[in-house]
Amino acid sequence: MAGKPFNLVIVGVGGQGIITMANVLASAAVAKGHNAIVAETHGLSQRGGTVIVHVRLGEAEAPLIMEGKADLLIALEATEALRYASYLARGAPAIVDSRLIRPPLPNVEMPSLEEVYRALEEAGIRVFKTNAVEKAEEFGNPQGANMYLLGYGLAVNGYGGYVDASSIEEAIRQKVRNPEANVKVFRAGYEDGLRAKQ
Amino acid sequence: MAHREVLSEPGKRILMLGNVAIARGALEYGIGFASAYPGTPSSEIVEALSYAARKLGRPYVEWSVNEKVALEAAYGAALTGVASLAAMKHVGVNVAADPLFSSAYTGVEAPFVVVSADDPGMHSSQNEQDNRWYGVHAYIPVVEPAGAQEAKRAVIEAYHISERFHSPVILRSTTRIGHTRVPVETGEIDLEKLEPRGEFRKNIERYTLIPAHARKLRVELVEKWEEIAEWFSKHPLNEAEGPEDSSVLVVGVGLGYTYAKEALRELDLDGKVRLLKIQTPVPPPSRLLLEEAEGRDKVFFVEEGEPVVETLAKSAFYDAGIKARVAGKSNGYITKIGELTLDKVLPGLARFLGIEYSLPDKPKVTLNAPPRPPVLCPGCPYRAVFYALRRAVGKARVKPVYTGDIGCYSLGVLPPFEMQDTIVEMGGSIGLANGMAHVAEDQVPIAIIGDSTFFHAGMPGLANAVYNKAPMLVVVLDNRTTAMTGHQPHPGVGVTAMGEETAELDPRRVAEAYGIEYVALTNAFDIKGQEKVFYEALEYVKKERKPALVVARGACILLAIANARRAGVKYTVYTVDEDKCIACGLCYKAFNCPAIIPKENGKVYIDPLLCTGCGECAQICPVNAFKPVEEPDPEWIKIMATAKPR
Ligand SMILES: Cc1ncc(C[n+]2csc(CCOP(=O)(O)OP(=O)(O)O)c2C)c(N)n1
Ligand code: SF4
Repeated sequence: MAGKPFNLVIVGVGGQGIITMANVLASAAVAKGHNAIVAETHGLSQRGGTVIVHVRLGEAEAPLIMEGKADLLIALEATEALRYASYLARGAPAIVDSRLIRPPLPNVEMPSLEEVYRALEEAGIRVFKTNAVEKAEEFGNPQGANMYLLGYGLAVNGYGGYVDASSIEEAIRQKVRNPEANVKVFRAGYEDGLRAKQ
Repeated sequence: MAHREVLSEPGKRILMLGNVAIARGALEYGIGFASAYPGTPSSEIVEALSYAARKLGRPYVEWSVNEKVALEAAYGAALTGVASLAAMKHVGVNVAADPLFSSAYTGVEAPFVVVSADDPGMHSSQNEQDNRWYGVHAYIPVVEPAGAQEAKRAVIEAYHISERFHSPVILRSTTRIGHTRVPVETGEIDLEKLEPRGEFRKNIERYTLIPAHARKLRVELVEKWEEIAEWFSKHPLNEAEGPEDSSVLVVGVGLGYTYAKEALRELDLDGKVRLLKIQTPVPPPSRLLLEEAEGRDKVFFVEEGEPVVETLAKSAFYDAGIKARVAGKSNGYITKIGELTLDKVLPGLARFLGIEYSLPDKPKVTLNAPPRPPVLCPGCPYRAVFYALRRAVGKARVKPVYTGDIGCYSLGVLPPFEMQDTIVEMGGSIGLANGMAHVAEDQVPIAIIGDSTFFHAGMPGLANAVYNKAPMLVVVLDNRTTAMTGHQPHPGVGVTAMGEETAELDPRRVAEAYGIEYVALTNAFDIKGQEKVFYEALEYVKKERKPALVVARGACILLAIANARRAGVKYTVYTVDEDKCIACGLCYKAFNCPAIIPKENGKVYIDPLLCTGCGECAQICPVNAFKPVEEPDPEWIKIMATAKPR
């Protein structure tokens, strides 16, 4: 699969397991002999602040994705999709989880989930709406929302063909605590993604 | 954090953080000594080396008390014949600048690399300084990898350069190198080369910088600089690609190379324009730059930070009579503000080349995301400290100036506390208070300083306050760790980077030894108890016009949770009694714990996934609506006071 790199931005709030998610995906690509670059958010911003991780698979050189060039956006918190939607390329989809996390500041105006989805759709984005935390909870693994969304993303556009389900599962086994439970959640996300895509 | 990948077996291709790749490179070269003071984005280098040292028994690795000491320690090891590394964030080099300049004059016996992790974009810093200027200023060669993918190779080359010229070398990293993960090919680690053993050999004329010696060394330094520039002109870290007869030359320096390469791809010019990659920016490889620029019409520079190579090359071009037009950051083609992105490089490059280009179309969303700055964690002891301190200040009727400092408590700048009136640099809390105390007659400076920061740069300021009789209240926030940068240990907690037990320095005993008369210890989680002590301390400062010091001790809640998990101890979350809650809003407006979430009717609930069982809310609710779901384990209460990093 040489040629065009696949550009993914994963966004959310510090502590949602975004770095792990990116790490699993990139390791899966590397295990298949491809290149990967993951630019992470560390330090100060992790204290409940906004987080964006850039994942580039294939022949990419620079760590940061240019605005208007991402092939997929995955938001683990819905309002964060608003902040970073400008990274999406024209026609590229977003997977936006229903989770809303209120910033702990006195007197902030929080949009509703419906408002968030509407605003994204009005900007011409195809939005896949997920309930990752609940789905992961069904497997007794509420921390597995990230793996659910990783599976969902694979179904939605295949991460450019640089990985497949088995390479991701292998990476989960190597990188994530409680791997078997997480593999299950990953598969559930994949199945749901396939269904939503039709 | 462990960063186990640093010890991956040789011959593999492993996804690694740039900082871990730097650590791996140092191990593959073979260093015997590494020291650092933590600072984003540099900390993972010595975290990874500390992991390696615990597994292999070598090299010697330490968290030093500050960057000056870290640099001196590694310099001392290098003078003793042991290859060494000192790592720090960019502003740490300011703290370490004094010995850094001297190290260029004396040179070193064994190779010595100082890693400077710059932070363009100021993700976690107070400024955007480009530390390649230190290389220019101090006559120290700088190596700058073209991305995380080149980091391991660059650090190994930096050691070879240091070895060849007996000079310290600066490895300049940036956030997008250190905090980017890429596949890295692992080489062999030779345990023998990691042995931290050397012997100092006297050389008075070289290692004692009295003026008579320094004058001679200055001559050597300036001559050596020319030699290094010449060496860099043929160094394999710098390479040109693309057609020799191109009328345009693009120069990509360090990470700038990756953006230059992608910008050319985007403009469909990759392989059609000459592209020069520079990874040894200082001293600039002048001969190579002249050869490459000779006869071309235009030269475009892409570099992260300031136009360092661009400025120096322009001067060399002028001397050599090269007429090419030069552009980049020196003349507004790329902005000097923030970190490099393709969005910044592409329009400038296109404009310079006279090519039509517009940035890609992007979705325009009309609804704004709510602001989401970083905040104190749920259960952070600092929330209780700020709350109690504000009440004490009100009761003592003093006009406070909260001189703040650098650490998680800097977040106290946000509403609802807004109790950091100044935040300038590490140690600045006590430092600025030393001036204010003498001139702001009606106000009382309250210096708020973390434990790690106290040992780093607070102690001289405190000695000054006693000596010069500066009335101030110093509050030392003893959360048992250097939290903001990832929970490293420090001199107050009794563990070293090698994982060994050691003495615990107590800021109270420091203050007593300095002769401070009012010294007290409080439990940072106890709001009423602290309020009383802060009040007394303020009364003392008012009346005696002398400094007082209070240590507020309570573990960073994340550290406490990690300790509890290892000890098999559980914390108890809190809930709200709906019937008792009167919807007064105190807990989310004035106290503002992220786990306490207001409902439509103004009453609150506690998110059990966020609650950390600190028990602070139960102390502030006027109607006692918060209660633990079960009686908290006394072991947990103990861990909240005594937890320590590993
Ligand atoms: C000169 C310098 N070195 C390092 C840093 C990085 N740094 C930022 S916050 C911080 C932590 C300070 O720890 P402490 O005072 O214990 O506060 P805590 O984060 O634990 O609240 C450090 C080391 C810096 N900003 N400046
Ligand atoms: S990391 Fe620790 S010290 Fe920092 S805000 Fe969180 S609880 Fe407080």
